[in-house]
Amino acid sequence: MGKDKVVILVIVTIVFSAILFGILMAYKTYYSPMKVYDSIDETVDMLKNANENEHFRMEMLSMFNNLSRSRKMKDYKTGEVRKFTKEEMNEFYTAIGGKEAIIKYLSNIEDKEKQREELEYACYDLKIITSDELANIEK
Amino acid sequence: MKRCVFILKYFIYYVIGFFSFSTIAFITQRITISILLKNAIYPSQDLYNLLNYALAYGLYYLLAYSILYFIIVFCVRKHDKRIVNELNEKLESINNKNSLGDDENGKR
Repeated sequence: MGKDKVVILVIVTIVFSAILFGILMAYKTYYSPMKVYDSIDETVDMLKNANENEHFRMEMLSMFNNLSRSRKMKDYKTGEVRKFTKEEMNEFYTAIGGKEAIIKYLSNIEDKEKQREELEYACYDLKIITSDELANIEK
Repeated sequence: MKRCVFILKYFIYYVIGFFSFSTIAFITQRITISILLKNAIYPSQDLYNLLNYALAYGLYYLLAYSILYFIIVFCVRKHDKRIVNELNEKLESINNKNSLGDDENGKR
């Protein structure tokens, strides 16, 4: 094997390894436990009492979506990790009221300016509704 | 002096390789995450958060690339040594043939 072939082989190895590593890192990030800065119990209480305020409910649904990937929560300060069962996750979802409750809230905002702001916040920042749903509600 | 040039050469290869590796891996990571989350990619947002990403994942990238680099260097050097050995063996066999030919012709 000539010198040129060795160079090409090294470049190809680096490129393929980088692609593979990028995919692995993406999966690691996606399935890693959700980090919480308050204690785990406080966060669980927040999730269970999400229906007090409509705006807060949206934020909790975003948090629920993050949590549902790994079903694990990690305390940032103590490093404690807690895994939640499917029943507990269903309990959180029911407490939040699900995506339907959010869509209902967003559809019923009468102030058009506020509705626009809330829709953009839900779609682009919290990523709890898709751009198609945003367009449907705005109609 | 030769040793310094040798180390500098390997260091430059390492730095160039690291930047290429990180760029490709980061782009792949962002694309895969966007597919998994079913979100659109916002390059301007990613560039804005580049420092945060570098702090969060930089160490993993450095570690993975360093391991890969040393494996590559090890393999290439081994390959070089094998080629040099093969060439030496060939040279030796040619020398042996020549000396045998000389003996047969009575030149010695």
